[in-house]
This record gives sequence, C-alpha cells and structure tokens, in this order.
Amino acid sequence: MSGGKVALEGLRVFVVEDEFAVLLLVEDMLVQLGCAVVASVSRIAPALEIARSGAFDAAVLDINVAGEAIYPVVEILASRNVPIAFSTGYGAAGVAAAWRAWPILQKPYSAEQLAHALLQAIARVAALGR
Amino acid sequence: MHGMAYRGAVAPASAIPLPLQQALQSWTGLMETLPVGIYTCGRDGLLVQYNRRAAELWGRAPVPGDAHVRFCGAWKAYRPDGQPLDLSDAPMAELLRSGAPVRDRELVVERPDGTRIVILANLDPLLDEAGELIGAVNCFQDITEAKRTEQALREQQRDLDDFFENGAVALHLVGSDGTILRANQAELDLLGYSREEYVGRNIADFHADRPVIEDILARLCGGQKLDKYPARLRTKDGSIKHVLISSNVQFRAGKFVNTRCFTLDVTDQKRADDELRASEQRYRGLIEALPAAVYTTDAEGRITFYNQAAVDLSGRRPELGNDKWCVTWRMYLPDGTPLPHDQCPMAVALKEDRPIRDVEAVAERPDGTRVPFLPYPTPLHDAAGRLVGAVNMLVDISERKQAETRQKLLVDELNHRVKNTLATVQSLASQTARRAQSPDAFREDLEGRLIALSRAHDQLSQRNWEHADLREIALASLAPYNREAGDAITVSGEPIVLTPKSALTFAMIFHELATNAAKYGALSQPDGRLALDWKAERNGAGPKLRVRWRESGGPAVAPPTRRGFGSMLVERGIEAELGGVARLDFAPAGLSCNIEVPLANTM
Repeated sequence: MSGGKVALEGLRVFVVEDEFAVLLLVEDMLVQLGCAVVASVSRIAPALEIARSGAFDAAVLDINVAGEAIYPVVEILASRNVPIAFSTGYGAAGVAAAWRAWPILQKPYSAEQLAHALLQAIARVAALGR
Repeated sequence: MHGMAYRGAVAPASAIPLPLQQALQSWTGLMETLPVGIYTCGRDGLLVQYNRRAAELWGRAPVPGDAHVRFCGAWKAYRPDGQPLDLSDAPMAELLRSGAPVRDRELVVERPDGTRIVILANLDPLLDEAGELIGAVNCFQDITEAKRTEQALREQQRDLDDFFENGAVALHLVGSDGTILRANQAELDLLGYSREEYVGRNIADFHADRPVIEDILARLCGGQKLDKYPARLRTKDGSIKHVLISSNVQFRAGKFVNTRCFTLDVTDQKRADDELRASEQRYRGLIEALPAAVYTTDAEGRITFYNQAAVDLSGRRPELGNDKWCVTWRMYLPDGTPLPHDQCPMAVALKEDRPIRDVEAVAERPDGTRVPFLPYPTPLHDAAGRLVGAVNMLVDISERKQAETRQKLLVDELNHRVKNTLATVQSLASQTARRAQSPDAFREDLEGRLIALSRAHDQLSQRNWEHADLREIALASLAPYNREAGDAITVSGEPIVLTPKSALTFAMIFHELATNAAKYGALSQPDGRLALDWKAERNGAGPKLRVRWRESGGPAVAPPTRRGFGSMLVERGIEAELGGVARLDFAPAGLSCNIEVPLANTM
C-alpha cells in the first residue's frame, strides 16, 4: 500500500463512471492514493473528447456507460499509450476479449486493489513501450 | 400254342355235304394266310374247318366234326364281364338259331394253359343256292392288346377327370362366349355354388368387376396367356374373394375351344397384405405427425424415409436413396467445428451397429440458420438379426439452448446488479463515514440511506426492473415524514415513467432532501410545508422534466458552511447520472431545489 502510494503520488487520473455514488468512491480512493483526479465524466461523448485531448497519466474506466460501451474511448487511450484499469460489475467476462490484457477491477473493490491495478497498467505500458 | 400241331384240319369229305365242300375248296389256301381266326360250323354247330390263326387263338386244335366241340373251338369262354359262357350261348349258336349275322361281339377265351385273351367275333351265315342256312363262318381276332390299351386310356381319363374334379386348385373351362363349360369341386367350394348353379352360366356373372372379366376374355381371345391376373369374384353369400387367375385358351385348328382357368384364392394373403399396408400407413401417419424430425436409412446409410418435421428442421427436402447419413444440409459440433456427414452420429450408429445417445450437434440450413439438436440414431435389424438400416430422431433443442442462454444472461445481469449495488453501498458507507460526527450518527445516516436505496429496489423489483413511477418513488421517500407532518406535504405532477437508473437517483435525492428537511428544514417545524411537484415540458429543443422541491414555514435557512453528502449527491448526482442540472437554493424562507433533466434520460 505504502509502495503503491509512493508510486502513484501525483498521478493524474481520468475517470469514466456513470454511477455517481461509485464515481465519488473512486475519486475518494484516488485522492487517498495521492493521485489527482483531473477529469471524471459519466457519458461517452464527453469521455471521447477528454480522451483525445486531455492530459493525464492513467484512466479508470467503467465498461457500460449510460448504455454505451466504453471501447471507442479505450481505443483512443490505447493509441496514446495511456495505462488503463477497467472497473466493472461484470468482471473479466464483461470486458471485450481484445482488451482483457488490461487489469480489470470487479466492483466492489478496495483502494488497495485500485492501486494494484493502476500499477499493473503502468507497468504494462512501460513493457510495451520498450 | 406250344405242343400243338396244326394239320390243315378239314373234316372228312364224306362228312361234308358236297355243295359246302365245293364252296370251301377255293378259299382254303387263302384262309390259312389270314391274320384272323376263321372257322366254320355246319347247321348242326359241329366244327367243319378252321385256320391256323384260330388254333393259335384257341390254344388247341380240336378235331373237326368232334361231337364234343360245337359252335366254338375254344376250351372255355367267358362273357366280357367275366361270367362263364355256356358254349350253347356262343355267338355261333345264336346265329345258327336266328340266321342273322353277329357283329363285333366280344368274348374272353380261356386256353387250356389258363391264359385268357379277348376276342372280337363277327359271324356270317353260310347259305346254299336256295338260300337255306347251311352253316356259318366266324371271323375272330385277338383284341387283348387293344382292350388293354383302351383300359389304360380309360384309367388315364379317369385320373385326369379325378385330377380336374378333385384337385385342390379351382379350375374351370369357359367357352368363347364366356359360358362356363365345366368347373371342378374346388372352384364350386371356393364360391359356394352347386354345379347346377354354376356350370352353364356366364363367367362374367361371378366377377365383381365387369371391366376386369372383359379384359380377361379379350386377352384370352387374343391368344394371350394370363399369369396370376388379379380379380375379385363374388361368392354365393355375397362376399368377395380375391383371386389370381392363370389361364390360356385351347385352340383347335385356329378355333377357340375353351379357356383353361386356374383360380388361386388369395383372399387371406390379400387381407394380410392389406392389414400390413394399413399398419404401415398408420405408423407412417404417426411418424408424420410426430413433432420430432424422424428419418430412416438403409444399411448403407441412404435415406429411405423422412417426415415433415425433418424437412422443417433441416430446411430442405432430402433426396431419397441418394442423400446419405443425415437429412441436414451441414453439421457442426457444439463448439462450431464442421462435422462431416460420414462421421455424424447416425453414420457411427450404422458403422458400429449401436445406438448413439447423449451427443449434441448443430444443423445448418441452406439459408444459413443453425439449429442445435440431439440425435437419437438407432440401428434396425431384421428377424435374423442382420443390420437393415437405422432410424434417427432429431430433437430441436434451440429453445432449451436459448433458455440456457437467457438463464446465463439473467445470472450475469443479477451478478452485475448486485456488484454495482455493493459498490454503491460501499460508496455510501465511505461518504457517510467521512462526514459522521459520531458512530451513532454514522449508523443512523447510513441506515437511512440504505433503507432508501432498498425501497427503490423494491419498487423496481415489482416492475421487473424495467421502470418505476416518479410519484411512487417520491411518496415512498417521503412516507417516513408524512404522518408526523399531517398535510404538510403535497406531491403533485403528471405520471412520469422512470428508468431504473433514474428511479434510483431520484429516490436517493428525495431521501437526502427529506432527511435534511426533517432535521433542519420545514419538516422540523409543525407549521412547515413541503411542496414537491413536477412537469414534463415537451416543447423546445429537447423535452425536459422539471422537478421543484420547495420548503416553507420552517426555521430561517442559512447556506451551509460545509457541503454535505446530500447536497453533493443532489447537484452532482443529477448531472452524472441523468445528464441534468440541479440547483439548491438556500433562501431564508425555505430551501428550494430545482431539477431539470432531459426527459429522454428518465424514461
């Protein structure tokens, strides 16, 4: 936990989550982990906008956002080498096969699990970039 | 004739009247050469003269003129019926009495050695010039062989008649005009008529189908031979006999004499055949009516029968005798791997001669649609146990598969909902804990929020999690305060259908506002009032739902120094969950909240 916190200190995070209560929770957890929530949205349209032009170091993404799939957003983020952690009530089965290599958080989860997923995602991008 | 010497016997001239001597003289030499026995007797019946052949036939040579030999030279004679014949009744005696010739008289002559022969005698009188009877001549011949042949022929005829009459097969002869000339007992028995009722009638009278007998007669007259021609005959009691007729015509010198008809009764076989066919028809009908696809193959796997359900399942009409192993167009294993026809369960059942069970396959129709099915191939054997084919039943399990899929979706969805709800609870607990002044306050606040969430779930569950009504959601949220406040609370607005998500959001928001009102606002005072109303505005760019919460009559309101979870939930929740705007106005006269959300996001 402390290692995660150090590693994640100052990390700028983009959150997409359509359930307000869960969004609040994720934001709280990220703040608790020393991260900065630079953007959080509950709809695909603004999420696409931010994905294209926003400045951040990682993304926590819900899969089903107000009835729309997150994948167009994922594609943009992946092309920008942004580390991604999925957050879903469906678990791994709810994530399209093409994106299952990214860490998947099954709701509900703890701040520690969130930190672990973000570190994994960052490590994956680092490995891919080499 | 052994030991017998023929001496050209002639009576002594002195014993023969002169005229007779003269008459005989010139014939003697000739008589000796004739192949028939000839002898003459005088008026007194005494033997006058006989030739060599006569002695041979008699088996002895009596002395002419011997007083003991009268009328005939034979040792013993019998009538044709075997009765002894007194020689005084012999044809010669007869003639000498009557003077009339005797023609073709049969007698049996017994020789001294005991052998018997049959002779045919013809006798003529001998007259003198004055016409007086002076004797007679008997010309006789051995007809033993002819009699034997005749007897044999007679027996043969009797056998043939017996064969015709008493043979086990029904027989009749018919003339060219159709008249029954003759019929045997088996035929009469077959039809139940007496001979008098049958013979002499027209054969057509006994046929049930006139065109059939007309065709039969036409063919026979044309020289055709009929072999087991099927027909129906009417018996005396009116019942119908199914028969096979084999017949041809006896032509003599190109003229139709009669038909020879063999009639074979196949009524029993016909009935058995009909029953078998009817039974087969029944089974066919039964299989045709089955809702399961059924087809059969021969031992080589060629399709020999299929029902309509098989056509429906496979989406095609199999080609009988050509298509092999399965009626389907293409097959796959449940995992999608192509399954060649010659490896399908039916092929395995036939090749290994064993029924196959508990295998699943997928049929593809020519139109590309696929049907999962369970096959039940079962080999068929004849009475000797030889494999003769197989029957297969294909049970369409699409619905079961769809139900399984639905079930899985349902469980997945339930799991998802539970996990999301737990995440919401986790968030509520976390947010409540951060702001709680004491453990008791934390417990009270969290309980209130969980109960509000639970009530909203109840309302959604009642409607299969499809929708909820805004009014019901509002009333449920305010119910805990309504009793205390009497008519302090008014709720009004048109019916609004909410999605599950918007229902949950409104329920949580109303709960937070109501709790706040009860603690600090209008509902904390006896005179306080709360008005909740809404309205759908369908004109303008996007239809909107406007909800107003107005408190009055409560204590003076001051803007809070610190944003609570409630106000955060109201303002950000509406934005995040419903894409709308919520504004809290902490006016001194009472708190009000205006919510505006796109109608499209609520229903």
